[in-house]
Formats: sequence, structure tokens, C-alpha cells
Amino acid sequence: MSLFLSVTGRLLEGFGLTCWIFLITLVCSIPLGLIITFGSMSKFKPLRWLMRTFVWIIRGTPLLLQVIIVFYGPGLMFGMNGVGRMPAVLVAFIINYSAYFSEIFRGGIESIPKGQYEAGQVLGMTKRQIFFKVVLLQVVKRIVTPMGNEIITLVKDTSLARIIAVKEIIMVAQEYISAKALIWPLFYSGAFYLVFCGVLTILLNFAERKLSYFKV
Amino acid sequence: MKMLEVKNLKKSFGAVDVLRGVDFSLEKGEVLAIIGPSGGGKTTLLRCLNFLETPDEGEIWVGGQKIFDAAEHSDLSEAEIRANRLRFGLVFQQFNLFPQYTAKQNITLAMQLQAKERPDYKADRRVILEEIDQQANALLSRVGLLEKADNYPHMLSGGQQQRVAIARALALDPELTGEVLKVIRGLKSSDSTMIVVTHEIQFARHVADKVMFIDEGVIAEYGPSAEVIENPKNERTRAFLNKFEK
Repeated sequence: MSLFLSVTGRLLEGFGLTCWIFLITLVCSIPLGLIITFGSMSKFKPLRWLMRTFVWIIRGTPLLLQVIIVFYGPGLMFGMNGVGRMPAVLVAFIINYSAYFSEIFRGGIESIPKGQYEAGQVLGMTKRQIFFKVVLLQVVKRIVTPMGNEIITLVKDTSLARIIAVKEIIMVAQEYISAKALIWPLFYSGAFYLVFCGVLTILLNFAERKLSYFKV
Repeated sequence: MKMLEVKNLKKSFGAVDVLRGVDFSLEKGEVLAIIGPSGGGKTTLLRCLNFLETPDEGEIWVGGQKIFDAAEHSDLSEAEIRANRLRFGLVFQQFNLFPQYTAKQNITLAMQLQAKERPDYKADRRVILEEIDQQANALLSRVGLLEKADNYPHMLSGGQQQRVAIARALALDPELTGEVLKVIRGLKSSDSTMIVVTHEIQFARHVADKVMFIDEGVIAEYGPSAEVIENPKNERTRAFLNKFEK
């Protein structure tokens, strides 16, 4: 029993780190993703090209590799002092997720009928007003479901942080295998993810219900 | 007095010439019905008048004032284009109501945004918003939808949505409401100048003062509605009208 409690405590510590990676990545990559969206939809071709190439590279390579590159890259290439482990994880995650988010946003924005923009135009609204007062909420409604998918994937992707020895929950659990030949803590760690994703699902459903008062 | 004058309006999309030189004018208070086969340029003409498309060539005059000249268009700022747009109201074929706003909010949104630009907005905010609300109520009751004020577009029938769209287009010039409604109901009106794109020939016959037949980007026939519909001179107009009568 005391072993179970001490495993639970250690796993909770790791899970705290998991939650931090999740939260900071989510909060930072949404605005960054929106900026990338505007870039990839820009009428200025070089910018659009740059952003779409960026998205291609980020989506075209494993996140695992990106974490390693951010962590070791600066030191190997420029002889700089490496960044800390946690900052490296966060930078890689934020860049990676903002690329994915930006494509979801782009799809959402492009799915809004042209007539909505035109209706705003003939009513004398500015581009800004049309975006914020007419288009944005419709986009939000359209992307809640795909965003939910991505956010739930992010919860589990945090486990990749262990590749550079950031002690998130899976890494803590794995240490029980090598140090004490116990495998059940690893299975047990799954329950933490499950509960967390359950809570997120409830929140996402709530958001969907909140937006169900209109149809797009 | 000439309310609207369109001179040599041309518009092409890539290699397709949609409008190939359209000239006409409307007196104040006249109602014009535009008829013609699909793809002939009816909608593009309306869109040009609302600056949703930028004409390649030509001029647009409203009330004796030149508001658009393709030759000088690049000089217009976005604010000037916005100001010009407000000289026209437009009801879209698909209505294009804003789905996340109620019927009333659809009407008040543009009014509220414009009120914010008024210098006295901060001081008199409450009074101004109350006025806007009253105006919206008045518009809604005139289109017979006051009891649907708090309904969202998806809860309204097609006809009701259309009436909200009309009220919304009129919100920026509420004096016109009665006149437009007469037209929509098929009654003659006298004061407001209107252009209706329609496929209902009888509607055009009864409501419009003038009928314009547009085909392949040019005005094939233009004149008093009775004359154009009952005694078309152009062969294509005749063929088009015959098809509709059968």
C-alpha cells in the first residue's frame, strides 16, 4: 500500500510537468498559430510561401526530432550554450502545435462563405470589423471539433519530452522498470492521461453546446 | 433628376467579358427590373454598383455626382469606397444574414458600429443605443417580424430571412422602408430608386417602371416595362420572354 502511495506521489509530480507542458504550449501556440494563418493567407506571395514552407517542414518531420534539434541544435551548430531542457521542450512544442493550429484556423476561415464578407462590406463595415464582428465567432464554431482533436493529441504528445530527459509522467513511470523492475506504474500512468482527457472532453463538449445557439 | 447614371461600364474576369459596356440612367423614384438569361451579367452589374466588384472601365454617377471612375479608381481609399457603398443598399439573393446574431442584431450591428464613429458617442452612448434599438424595432414591425426579433436566422423561414435582409439593408436609411415594402409586395411606389434583379416577368411587369434585358454583357433592350415585356423589339428578348411564358 505504501508503495502504491509513493508511486502515486511520484507519478503526480511527473504529471504536474505534463500539465505544464500542455498548458503553456496551448496558451502560446494558439495566438502564434493565428499569426501564421494570416501569413499563409497573405496576398504578399513571399510571405505566403515562407509560411507554407514552414508549415510543411514542421508537419513533415517528427515532433520527437524537433525537440532534439531545439535542445542540441544551438550548441552543435553555433557552439552556443544549450537551452534548458524544459525551455527546449516548450519551444519545440509551441512551434509544432502552432503549425498544426494554423492549418485548422486557415481551413476555418476559408470555409466562411464569401457572402458573409460581402454583407459586411455593403453595410459599410471595415475589414477589421468584418473579421471580429462577423467572421471570427463563425470560425470558432467551425473549428471547435478539430481543435479538440488536436488538443487531446497534445496531452499525449507531452510524453515525447522524455527524449531529452524532462521528467514527465511516462519517464517517471519508466524509471520504475529500470530501477525496481516494476511495470505496473507505467500502466497506471495511463489512468492519469485518461482522466485528464476526460475532463478536456467535458470542457470541449461544453464549448460546443455554448455555440449551438446558431447554425453556420 | 437623374438619380443614377452608369456610363460604359465594363468588367471582365480573366478572359471572360461579363459586362461589355453598359449605359443607362434612372430617374429618382424609378424602379428598374433587370431580366435576362443566367450568366448574362445581371448580378455582376449589381455587384459593380455596390463596389463588390471593381469595374474595369466606366463611370457611376449618383445624384449628379461622380462617385466612381475606373480611370481614377486607384486613388480611392478604403474609407471612400466604404462611404460610396453606403449610397446603395443591397439585398443578396442568398440574404447572407449573420448566423450568430438575432434578427434584430443583424439590423443593429452596422448602425452601432457607425454610431461609434460619432463624436458624441461616448457622452450619449445610452441614448444613441436606445435610438438604434427603437429604429430596429420600427423596421422589424414594418416587415412584420417584430415578434421574431430575438430569433436567429436558422429559426426563420426563407421569406422571413429575406425580410430581415431587407430591413438590414434599409437600416442605414430608414425613411425608405415603406417604399421598398410596396415594391416587394408588388405595389407601385414613387419615391425611392430601386433596381431589382428578377426572373419573375409578371413581377417586373407590375412593379417596375423600366425593364432592362441584359444578355452577354450588354443591354439588349431597355425601356418602359410594359413596352419591353409586351412588345419586345430585340429578337433575343423575344426568345427569352417566350421561353418564360410557356
